[in-house]
Amino acid sequence: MPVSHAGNAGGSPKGAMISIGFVTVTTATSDIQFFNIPQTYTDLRVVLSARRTGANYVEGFLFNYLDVSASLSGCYIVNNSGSVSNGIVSNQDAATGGLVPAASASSTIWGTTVIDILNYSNTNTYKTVMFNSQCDSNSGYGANFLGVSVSKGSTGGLTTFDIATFSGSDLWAVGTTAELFGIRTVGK
Amino acid sequence: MSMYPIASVGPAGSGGIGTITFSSIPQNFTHLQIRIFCRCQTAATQVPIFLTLNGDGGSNYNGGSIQGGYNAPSGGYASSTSPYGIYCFPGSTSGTNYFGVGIIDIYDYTNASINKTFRATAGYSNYAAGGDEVRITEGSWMNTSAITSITLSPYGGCTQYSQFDLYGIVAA
Repeated sequence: MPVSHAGNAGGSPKGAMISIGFVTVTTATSDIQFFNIPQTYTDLRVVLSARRTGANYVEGFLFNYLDVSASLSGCYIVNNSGSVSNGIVSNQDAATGGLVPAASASSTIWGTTVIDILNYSNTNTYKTVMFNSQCDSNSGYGANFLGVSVSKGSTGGLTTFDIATFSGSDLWAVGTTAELFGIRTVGK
Repeated sequence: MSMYPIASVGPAGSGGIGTITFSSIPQNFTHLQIRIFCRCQTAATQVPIFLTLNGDGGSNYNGGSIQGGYNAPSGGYASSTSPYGIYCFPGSTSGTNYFGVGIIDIYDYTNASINKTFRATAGYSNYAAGGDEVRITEGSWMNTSAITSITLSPYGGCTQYSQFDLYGIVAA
C-alpha cells in the first residue's frame, strides 16, 4: 500500500497552501494512505489524479477517516454520463469519495478529485469532508460528483485517512498520484 | 498560482458570531477564496449564509445553483436579490455537532471594468435525517467596483467553533 508519512514542509515555505505529503502509485494497489498528519493547519486539501484498473468506464471510491465503524453519513449529487441523480447514506464505515475513469476508458485519461477537510484538528466538532470529482473516458462516458460526509463517531483531530477502492481486484492504477496540502490561515 | 492568508475569524466563542466582515481587503491579489466551517443558530435543518459585497444591500445580485442530496437534484436561478444566499449550512435543529463546509471563490475582484462573479460549493450531512444537501452556486454582483469588503451573515448567527478564513490567490 502506498503511504505517505505526512510532515511539516521543510525550510520556510511561503503562502497558505503547503504540500505536506505526496504519493505516487508504482504498483497497482487498493489503498492510498496518509498518516501522522500535523495538527497545525486550519484545513486540509487532497488533490487526487487517478485512474482505476476495474473493467468499467467509471468507478467510485471510498474515503476512510477517524477509524470509525458504521458512523459515517453523506450525501451527493452526481452526473454519470448524462444521468443525474442524488444519493444519501448513513451508518457507513467509509464515505463515498467520487468517481474516476477505469480500464474501459481511453488509456491516457485520468480523473481529478479535490477533497477538502475543513477545521480538521478541532476536537470539539464532528468533521465534515467535501468531495469534488470530475472525469471523462473519451468513450462516451464521464462524470461530475459533489458530495459531503460527516463522521459522528469521533470529534478527534484527523491524523490519518485512507483513499480506497471498493474491492481487492479493482485497484488504483500505476501513475495515480495523491498530494496532501495543509492550508494555514493568518498567524499559523 | 499561490494562495496567501489575508484574514481569519474564529473559531467562534461560546456565544457564536452574528456577522463576519472582512474589510480593507488588499488589492494586490488576482482572486479571493473564502473557506467556511459553520453551523447556524436558526431553528432549521438547513439555512444559508448571506453574502454582501462592499456593503451593497441593494437588489444587485443574480445567480443560479444546482443542489441535491436528501432530495433529488434540482436547479434554480434568482435575479435581483439581496443579499445573496450561499447554501447550505446546518441550523440548530440539525444533529448536534454537525457543521457545514463551504468554499467561495471570487474572481478578478479588483478589475473595475467588469461585474464581479463568484462561485461556491457547500454542503453538509445531517445523517440522512433531512436537510442533507450539497450545492454548487454561481453568482454575480452587478457592480464594477473593486471589492474592498465582504460581509458574511450566517442565518441567525453562527455557533461556537465556526470558522471563516479569507485568502488571496496570486496568478503566476
